[in-house]
Amino acid sequence: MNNLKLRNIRLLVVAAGIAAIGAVYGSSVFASHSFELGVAGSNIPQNTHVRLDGLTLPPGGVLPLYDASPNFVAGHFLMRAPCDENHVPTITVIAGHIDEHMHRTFVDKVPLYYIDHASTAGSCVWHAHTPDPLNGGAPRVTDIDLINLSGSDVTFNPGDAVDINIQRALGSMQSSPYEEMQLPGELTHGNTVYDLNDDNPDNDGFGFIEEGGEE
Amino acid sequence: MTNHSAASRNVLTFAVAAGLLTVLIGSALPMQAFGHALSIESINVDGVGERGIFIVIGHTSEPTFGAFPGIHDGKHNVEVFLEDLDTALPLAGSSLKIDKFYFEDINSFNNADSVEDADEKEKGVSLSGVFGDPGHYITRQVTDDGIYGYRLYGTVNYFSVAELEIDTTVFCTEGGEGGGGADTSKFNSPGWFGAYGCHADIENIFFPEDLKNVKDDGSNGGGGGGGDKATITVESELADGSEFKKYVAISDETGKTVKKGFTPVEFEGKVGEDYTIEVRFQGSPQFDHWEDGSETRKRTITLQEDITLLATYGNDVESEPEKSETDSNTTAVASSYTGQIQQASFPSGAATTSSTMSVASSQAAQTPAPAIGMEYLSFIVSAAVVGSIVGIKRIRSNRSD
Repeated sequence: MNNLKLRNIRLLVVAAGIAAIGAVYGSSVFASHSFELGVAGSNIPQNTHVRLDGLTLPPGGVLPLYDASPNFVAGHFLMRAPCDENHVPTITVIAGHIDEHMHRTFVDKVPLYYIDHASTAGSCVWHAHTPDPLNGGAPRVTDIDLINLSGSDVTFNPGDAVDINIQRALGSMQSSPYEEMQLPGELTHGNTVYDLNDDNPDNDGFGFIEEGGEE
Repeated sequence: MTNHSAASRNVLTFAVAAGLLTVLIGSALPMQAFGHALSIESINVDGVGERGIFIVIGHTSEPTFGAFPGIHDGKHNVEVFLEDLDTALPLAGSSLKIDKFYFEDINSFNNADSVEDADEKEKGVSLSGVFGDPGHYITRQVTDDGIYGYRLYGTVNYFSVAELEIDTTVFCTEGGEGGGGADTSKFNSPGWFGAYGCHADIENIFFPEDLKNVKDDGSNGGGGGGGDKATITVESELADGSEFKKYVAISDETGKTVKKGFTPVEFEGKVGEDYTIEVRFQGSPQFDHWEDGSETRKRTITLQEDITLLATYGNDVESEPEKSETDSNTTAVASSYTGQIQQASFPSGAATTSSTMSVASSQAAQTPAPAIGMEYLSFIVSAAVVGSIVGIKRIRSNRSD
């Protein structure tokens, strides 16, 4: 009985510690972007996780990752995948709206933020914000896909994955259709890659903010 | 009981508590309907280029009606939405104000040469961001029938990389988004499209047209329809003749309460019908007798002509079983509620109308509608909290076992 009470007290102490840490960090740091929304109220975001390890995409190959049609959505994108020496992924991440009607289809390459401190073993890690109103990409996103525009096979490494966290629906394509067409095949290889951690301030992109001043 | 069934019971307790909280939170969330005016402003963002800002303004809970005692509270807040035009991402962190203009009717509006001729104005009202809903700005108000217009001004924050000063005015549209009513656009700034509706006459949606339980003055009168009418007036005083207010309820032949409130209470009923008048225990001194000598608190009369009933209370001070702390708390909460509503009313008379919806007494704070609402919320919250505590105790108990 006493052991159980002691365990309960320990659990309470641990919970209080976690709450205290959360309170401290929640009110200070975390680099972010001014256009990131997060969820509304206490809603739970929708999450899609796709393992890529062992997968090989041939030139022109496409891997659809997410489709929220007819709603265009806001959320966060994470990818771990092979990259070149400039941290550009060998696979191309595209997003936008792929409609049954070709002339209502518009996709564009997603601007990515390279995360050096999470990139290991031959693969890079990137974050992206969908949509990104300041740095480019399709403004209204229902679909997210990977497409191999490199001209050679892309084989993913162990641990490579995509995680898509959708936090809000912003509207419907029915009321806000694209008025210009851009098809996946019209795009060229290579996403724009930003890096907040290198010494080059010119590749930080727009809208980056630091809350609380702690780095 | 096995641990398994105890655990099931705990889960059930939590589920009930969570359900009650969900009901509470859900009921507190505002319903959104659209019928709003729209405008697009452009902004130049250094290094990014030209971007569009979508401005939406209107009233909450469209369609809008003025406060109508007993039927509609008239609470139609002014709300503004700011969005990035291309992505529909909301624009948070803007600093906005509105000037509010109110015209009683279309004649008053037509006679005005500028918004400064409005029948009532309120300027420099800050719009607050709605918690948990970025890009949504609001100011609360209780409204009356009439024509509303707003000058929206301030600084729009475009994702913290650019700012845009705006200053624009738009009035409601008679007949709503479809128009069809009088032209109320003469003070509008250029660029607005769509519309938010001017307040409609709520009596236009009555069905049947002559609601039985609504008197001409808007109170929950009951006894409507045809036939002769007469008025029951209930007053009260202390035995020494000094003024004294007490809570009274009048019910009709079906037992339905048709009027309640603090004395003096007036009710217009149908001649020939029976009405029961009950003065209630609510603090000392206690009821002593009616003017005709009857000592029964609850009495039934057949209404023949205007009648005044005078209840006399003793000068004694005794404890009474029906008086409870809950009564006092309810009164306090209701008083606070009324005060807040009056502060938020626009035009200023709108809330006054609302607060007198069924009470002729000066103690309008005890208007039953808000008091019942607060009791309901208090019950939900209490039940949820108690449920959670019981569940936690049971889990602890099971662990200890």
